[in-house]
Amino acid sequence: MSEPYKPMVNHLTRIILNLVEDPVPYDIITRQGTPSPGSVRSFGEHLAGRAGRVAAMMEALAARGFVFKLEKNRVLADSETMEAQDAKRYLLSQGFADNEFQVLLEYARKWDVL
Amino acid sequence: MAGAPQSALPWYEREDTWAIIIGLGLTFLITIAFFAGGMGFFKTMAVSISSWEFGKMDKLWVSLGKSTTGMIYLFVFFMAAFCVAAKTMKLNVGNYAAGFTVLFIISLFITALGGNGTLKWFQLETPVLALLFGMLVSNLVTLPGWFKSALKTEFYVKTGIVLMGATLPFTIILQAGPMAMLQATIVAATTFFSIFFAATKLFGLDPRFGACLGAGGSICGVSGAIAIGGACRAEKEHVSVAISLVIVWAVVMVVLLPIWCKALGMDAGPAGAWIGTSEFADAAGFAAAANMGDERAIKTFTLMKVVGRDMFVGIWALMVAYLSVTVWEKKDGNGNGKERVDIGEIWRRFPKFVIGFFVASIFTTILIASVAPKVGAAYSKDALGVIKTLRGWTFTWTFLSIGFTTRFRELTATGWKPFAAFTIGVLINVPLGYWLSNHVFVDYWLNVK
Repeated sequence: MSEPYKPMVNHLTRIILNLVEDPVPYDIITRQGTPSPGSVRSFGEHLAGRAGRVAAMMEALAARGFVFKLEKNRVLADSETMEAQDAKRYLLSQGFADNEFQVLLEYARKWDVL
Repeated sequence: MAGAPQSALPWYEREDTWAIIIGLGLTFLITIAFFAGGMGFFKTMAVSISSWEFGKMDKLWVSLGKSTTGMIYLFVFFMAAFCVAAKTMKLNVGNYAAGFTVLFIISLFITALGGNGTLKWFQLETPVLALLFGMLVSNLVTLPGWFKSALKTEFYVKTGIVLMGATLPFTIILQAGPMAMLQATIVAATTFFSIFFAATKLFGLDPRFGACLGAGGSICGVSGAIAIGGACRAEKEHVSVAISLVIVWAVVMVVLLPIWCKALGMDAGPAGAWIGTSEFADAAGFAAAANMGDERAIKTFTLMKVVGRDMFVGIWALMVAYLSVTVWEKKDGNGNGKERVDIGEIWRRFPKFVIGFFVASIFTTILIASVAPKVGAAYSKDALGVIKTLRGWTFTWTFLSIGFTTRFRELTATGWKPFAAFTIGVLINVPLGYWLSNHVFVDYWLNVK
């Protein structure tokens, strides 16, 4: 729209970064049949790989002013300046896939209208 | 709390939490006082001003004189409760207290005026007077910041709705609730999709914008537009336009719906149901229902709006979030539709104050059922009577706050396309709501006493 507008809402864009995938990929351990030291090691490497991806996303988001907090087994990255669509587009442009993160957007009245 | 998205706040700093604490706390305190035989304080606090006429002002002066102590109690009690809430919600308590003092004084003045017989004849009851007075002042004068900090429309209406729960027997909710949900679903779905398709197919607007407009016009007004706007990641601009349209149409309907209900000779029950179906915002709807001057209208309004419509915003949010990720964003090239949408969306967008409404209703219903019939009748008359009056005061502060915060020059320029799409929804919603309330489901609404 070309008309000037007055934003009537504040927003919080939240990127959820699960430290461990949900569901946890235990099948890595049992893929070859019974568990073995090697399959558990592969599982550990997979988790480390995931942690590395999360860390990389955090670095990318930190560059755009996101702040972080830990909640249960996930990192929450919050911004009150970057819009949700832009945040998603940005992460995709940085080489991340959209199944690696989750975007939440919450609006609130800027002042106490109706 | 306005201004900060609720997810960013701990539970104890959220507006809904405090509306529940104050509403349920008051209900429990009054119940304890009733059974302890000490209702004096609360009865005095339940100020109610008598009707009066312009040439016979004596009645008004006598009524005001008798209520002086009650007004002080009322002021002190709510000032204390709201200030504790304001402090925890990290508002400036000094500003809030100053603002609430002025709001309270104005509410006394408006309530007294609303008791005038001539004004009542012109349909100018307290709710509409409060709204008009607030709008007149706020659109002519720039309000000081300290006063604005007390204009907590949502906070007051949520507190009032929890108190409403205490006075609405849960048996009525169980009996009429499914009908309210059915009627609300018919109207909400019809209106939502009318606005959505008008916006996207007729006027070529972005589907997320269409969803925001549809939610504002069908689910629960501003709260609906905000919840759905968040769920489908609509732009700030889209949400702002939807809010502006909701406000404009809600204000129009506050005035028109009660007039139409009376002109069409509708009974209070179906009238409240119609208002609950066709008014766009909770607070504005309460003003319209209260303007009917009959408790049954408020009850059926609450059943329709709170039980039938507000409760389901989370489900709508989940559907829209899923559509947004898998269809709309994918089409825009923003992802390949594999982003996870979890079912927690329903709870995240659920209006939590509704829990307080149900708890209050269940509590008083079980209590009345478990005591001797005589005691139950006395509790309904004395304790619930007081709650009803106090609820009326929270609504008066709500109506004033709506008026004072509806500053038309601060609304977003909407453009003709969103306006036209929303108006198509209004033109479908209002007659459909009337037909369902006054014909299809009329027997149910007439039976709500």
